Amino acid sequence: MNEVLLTVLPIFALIGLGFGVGRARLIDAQTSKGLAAFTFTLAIPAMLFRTMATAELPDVAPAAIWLCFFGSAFATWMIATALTIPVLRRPIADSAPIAMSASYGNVVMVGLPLALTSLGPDAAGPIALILSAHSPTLFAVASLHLALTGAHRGESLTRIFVGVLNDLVRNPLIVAIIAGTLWRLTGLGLHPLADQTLEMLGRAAVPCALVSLGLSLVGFQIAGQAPTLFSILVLKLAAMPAIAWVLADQVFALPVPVAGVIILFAAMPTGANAYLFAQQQGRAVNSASASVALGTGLSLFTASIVLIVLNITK
Amino acid sequence: MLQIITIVVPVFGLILLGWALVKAGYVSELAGKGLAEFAFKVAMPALLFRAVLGIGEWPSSPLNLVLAYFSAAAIIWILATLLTLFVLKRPAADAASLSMGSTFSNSVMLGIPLALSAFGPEAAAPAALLVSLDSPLLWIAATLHIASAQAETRGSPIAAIRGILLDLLKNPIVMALVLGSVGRIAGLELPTLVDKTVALIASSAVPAALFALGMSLATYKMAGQGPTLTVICVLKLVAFPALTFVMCVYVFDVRPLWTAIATLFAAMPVGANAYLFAARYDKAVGSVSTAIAVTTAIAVFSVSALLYWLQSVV
Repeated sequence: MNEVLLTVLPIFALIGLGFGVGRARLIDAQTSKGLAAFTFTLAIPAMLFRTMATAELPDVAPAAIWLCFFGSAFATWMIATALTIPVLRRPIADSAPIAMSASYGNVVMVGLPLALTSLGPDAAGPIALILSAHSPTLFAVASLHLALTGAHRGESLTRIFVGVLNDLVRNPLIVAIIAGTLWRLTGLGLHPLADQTLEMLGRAAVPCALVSLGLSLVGFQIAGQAPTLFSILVLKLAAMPAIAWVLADQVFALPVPVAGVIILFAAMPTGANAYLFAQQQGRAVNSASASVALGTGLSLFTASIVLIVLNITK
Repeated sequence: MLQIITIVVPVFGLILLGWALVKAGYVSELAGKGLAEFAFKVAMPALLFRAVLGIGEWPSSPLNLVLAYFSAAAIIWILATLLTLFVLKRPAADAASLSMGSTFSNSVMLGIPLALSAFGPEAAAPAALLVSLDSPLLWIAATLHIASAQAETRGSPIAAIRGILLDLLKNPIVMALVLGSVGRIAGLELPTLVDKTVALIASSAVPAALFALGMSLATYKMAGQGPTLTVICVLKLVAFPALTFVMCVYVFDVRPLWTAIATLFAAMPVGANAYLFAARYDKAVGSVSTAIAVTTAIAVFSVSALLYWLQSVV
């Protein structure tokens, strides 16, 4: 219990620090964008590249990891969609952003620091596997959803596929993971100098990501309809990790560090991309914004609970 | 020698990477500003606060270290002034800028990272002490210098110094050093949770500072006169460290580790404050701006050589 708090609280304290610094206008919006740019285009990619090039990877089939994590995401997506019309009484066009908010977690900024500090370097492999597929898969699902519900008729399946590929090529996190994997396959290893340089750069990744997240939260408003917001939060913070636990622990019986990453990642609060998606659709924007802001705060408790449960199962 | 390379290459590698990525247009200058603000307002203060708090008992009086370093700085300052007037034949008002350029070390962005990599955590205490005195003393000296050199004085020097001191109190790095010292004297011990949080932020200070330094270098213009530039480079990179070493060893009998750190700090390339001073009074701006870029590039080799030599002496 105490150890869990010692792991989780510093992480949320940094998010809180970023939020406080941003609120007090000690760092303005322009410069916080600059910090985010450094974090996402350099520090995190450097860490991921180094991890993929050198880390010990667990002996678990990637397909099993993806199946468990994305299985929980798809299931949550379906539940959110099913709830939208009959329960929340909202139009079908709202279902895509609501489902996105309920299943797109902030795996990079909250998940990565939490998983690394609580599970250690063993977690690196599964982290990279999920990260590399996370954003393209969920955006592909969202596009498919839009196409099927007729909210966005123009989008053909080929264009969706091209969009996913485009994301793969341009996203620095994914590029770093792929480049690191390829480097690993060459068997060259990393020269100690390159390794140390990357290690030093990567050391900035976790603290910068957390402070950067806190700074960005200043811009999110808490508004929107209470039932929608409540449903999204429950689905994202409770249902999705529960489904992930069933799949990873009960069905596939994956080893602890792997299952831990999957369940922890499934428990992550709604990420900013879900908000951007809602904005792009012009639907359920307030609910998405509020679920990012509230969810990030609440995930302090849900993440702690997940870690405590995992410790018990371990 | 290999050990020196593994210290120096990652440090300068990050600077080079930051510089190159801005030049290539991969990251914007805005990212550099954001990162620099994070490094100076959040990460470096956390590192210094924690370092000062953890100093414990000084193994011997730090007064000798301070006297050795700043007496060397004073002599170099006078030398720079004499060279400005009689060799470079520039106006007396330029001497303040050029003296500042010859003595103001980049101690925060480069000195601390190098000292910590080369000498370990023991380096933090003497480094923090020098950092805390360096910028107030040299700013005051430069302000008095220019006030006495300029016929048309802009207000009284006393008012100028009061302004500097007020500015310094608002400087997050100075604040962290003061708070750390007060906490240390009061016997404050951080609870584990707070300590872990501060340590987490602090871990990003070194990479963030180095990267931000590299990115800022891309914005300095190359201008100024050859002879002036040569004088600054020789005084800053050769004469100042040599004199500091002599003062430490032969005059003030400073402990070996502290001698090494004082010499390393004196050997640092010109720091950004020298540019800020020159720009504020519009004296020798081109020379000082160029000197920052040039001395940083030369420092790759001069600092490697110095560290190699220090290892055999200390």
